[in-house]
Amino acid sequence: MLGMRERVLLMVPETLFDVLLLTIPLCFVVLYSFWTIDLTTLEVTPDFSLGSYAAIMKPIYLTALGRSLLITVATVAGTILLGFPLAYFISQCKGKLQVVLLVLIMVPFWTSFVIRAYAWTSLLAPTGMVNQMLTFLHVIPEHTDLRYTDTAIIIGMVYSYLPEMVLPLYATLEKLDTNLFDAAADLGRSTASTFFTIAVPESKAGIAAGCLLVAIPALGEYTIPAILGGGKTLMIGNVIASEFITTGNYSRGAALATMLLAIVVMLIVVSRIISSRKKVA
Amino acid sequence: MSKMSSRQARRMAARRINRRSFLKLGGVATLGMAGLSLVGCGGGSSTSGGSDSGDVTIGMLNYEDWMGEDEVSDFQAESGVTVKQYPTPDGGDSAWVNAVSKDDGVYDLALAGIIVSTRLKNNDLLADFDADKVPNLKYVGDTYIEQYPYGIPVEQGKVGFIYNTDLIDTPPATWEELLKNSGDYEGGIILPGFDGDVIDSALLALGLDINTSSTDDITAAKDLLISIKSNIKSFLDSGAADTVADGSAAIAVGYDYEFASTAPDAPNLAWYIPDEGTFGYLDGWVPLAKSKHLDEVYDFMNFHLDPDNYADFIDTTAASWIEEDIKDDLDEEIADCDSLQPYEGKVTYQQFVAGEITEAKTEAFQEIQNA
Repeated sequence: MLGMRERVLLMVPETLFDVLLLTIPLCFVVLYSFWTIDLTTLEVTPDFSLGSYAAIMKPIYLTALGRSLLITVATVAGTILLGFPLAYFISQCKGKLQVVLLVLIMVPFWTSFVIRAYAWTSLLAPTGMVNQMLTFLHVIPEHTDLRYTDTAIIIGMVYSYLPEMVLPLYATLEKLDTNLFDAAADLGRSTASTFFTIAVPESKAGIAAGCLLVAIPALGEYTIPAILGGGKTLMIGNVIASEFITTGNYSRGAALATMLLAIVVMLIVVSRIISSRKKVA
Repeated sequence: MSKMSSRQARRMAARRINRRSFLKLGGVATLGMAGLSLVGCGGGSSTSGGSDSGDVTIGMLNYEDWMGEDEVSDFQAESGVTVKQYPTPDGGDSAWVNAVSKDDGVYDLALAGIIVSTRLKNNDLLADFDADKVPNLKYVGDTYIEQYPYGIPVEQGKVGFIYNTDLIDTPPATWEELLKNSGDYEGGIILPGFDGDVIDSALLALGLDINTSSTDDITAAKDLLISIKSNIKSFLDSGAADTVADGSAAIAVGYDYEFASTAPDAPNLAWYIPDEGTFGYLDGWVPLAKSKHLDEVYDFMNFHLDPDNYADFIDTTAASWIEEDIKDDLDEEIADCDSLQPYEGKVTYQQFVAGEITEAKTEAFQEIQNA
């Protein structure tokens, strides 16, 4: 059994890691948002100013933020719809098959995120596999180009973030007491009914974790909109990237990033409050 | 050069994953990119940085492998000076300026476009360039020397109309014609994915200066693009030539290197420079203020502009050259490539006008995206 001293010592490396690589950089982002920058010399002056926050209160940024939120909600919904049955199925499998399926879920992580996004531009092209299948099923007219649309962005984001939803869901579903399913079957419940009355309510923690894991990066996403949206859709991540990379306006970029960070923190706090209230109830 | 870092990264990726290196790599991981970026008009394998064996070592901030295949080793053999190359930073112009300003004398020279060079100059980070110490500058066209007073110009990139000859018999003659008739092209038109380039396309269509200092001009360009947004298929920073080649779009405004990388495998692609000219960037090498080896820097610059060495550089990078006389020494597929020709006098280079103008162009592009 470890004593308090040993426990504290064990925490030191991770705490140092967090402080050096997360907390301090985040503090700099927040500080930069209150500093001013000369756009000609790119010199940052550490004078306190709310100018960057005033500058981001423009309709265009708020619209971009609203669009990012909507696309994030659609992405989360898409990953739940696809990810839950998948996670449920994997949790019901046994032995090697389960391992193989889990590996298949994780395999996409082994290739570059950007390459996977570019691969979708081929799949969604008029001659691409997805379009040909949808044309064959008479879902879309022939020669439809699904690329460079909001739909393409959502498809790409659902695909990219699906593992983040499946893995926490699987972890929750895998721990479910299988006797509950047997009891439901004995009582005459259908598989679908068992799924909705037992599996779904019992895996709320996994759903919540999956939602956060998907929503947080999705909200700041800028690679997929740039590639699959063909640059025609403005999301808040693209705006932040532009401010840092194109104009070099670190202060405004930092103010936008801080605003996004505040929204994400708010989401986490709200979800924690809701889950703790439910636990109490 | 507002987005030079990302643009250059893509350009280099397009060249690096060329047919030869693809076969070398044979990697499954590159398969997804291969369709987007197989290089045709030339390209080449990489060079290595120098060793540390020379008496003097000069440090160069450079795009990775953006050097003639044997250039560094040949220079070392000839002069005894070692050239150590350091990769340019990610993160745009500001990262570039920061990298040079925080340098403790490691970098003696840097590759930089006009815009970054101007920013470096504004921050007193450049050494005064002494053209007399680079006699081989005589091989470079006058236009490029005038446009690049900070050091030696080395290569350029320009946009043009990339169109599908199966879908278009005669390309639009002017920028105005392209944008005015954008609704007539099947699939819509494709514009570059860089804010400055998008606005500059519209400025040319309106007959305005791309290096304007008037925000009213930028607003007019933005309004024009918003009015035709439904005819714009996408703003792409890579893959435009492929999209035109497969017929998904009839015409794109794209960079010379992208056409060069796609055209050899797509006989239905053609390149056209509009009548009123086009715009682009001009890259060069600049001596840095903190350098303690400026004589060696000038020697290396002079060595680079020697026609034989310069041809090696162009053959390796497949960039658009600026020494007219080297054409006969280049690989045939580069020398004959329509888009890589110099077009001296037909290209207006993007300048750094003011930080506020850069920001105005960025905001205008964001409003177009948001519309």
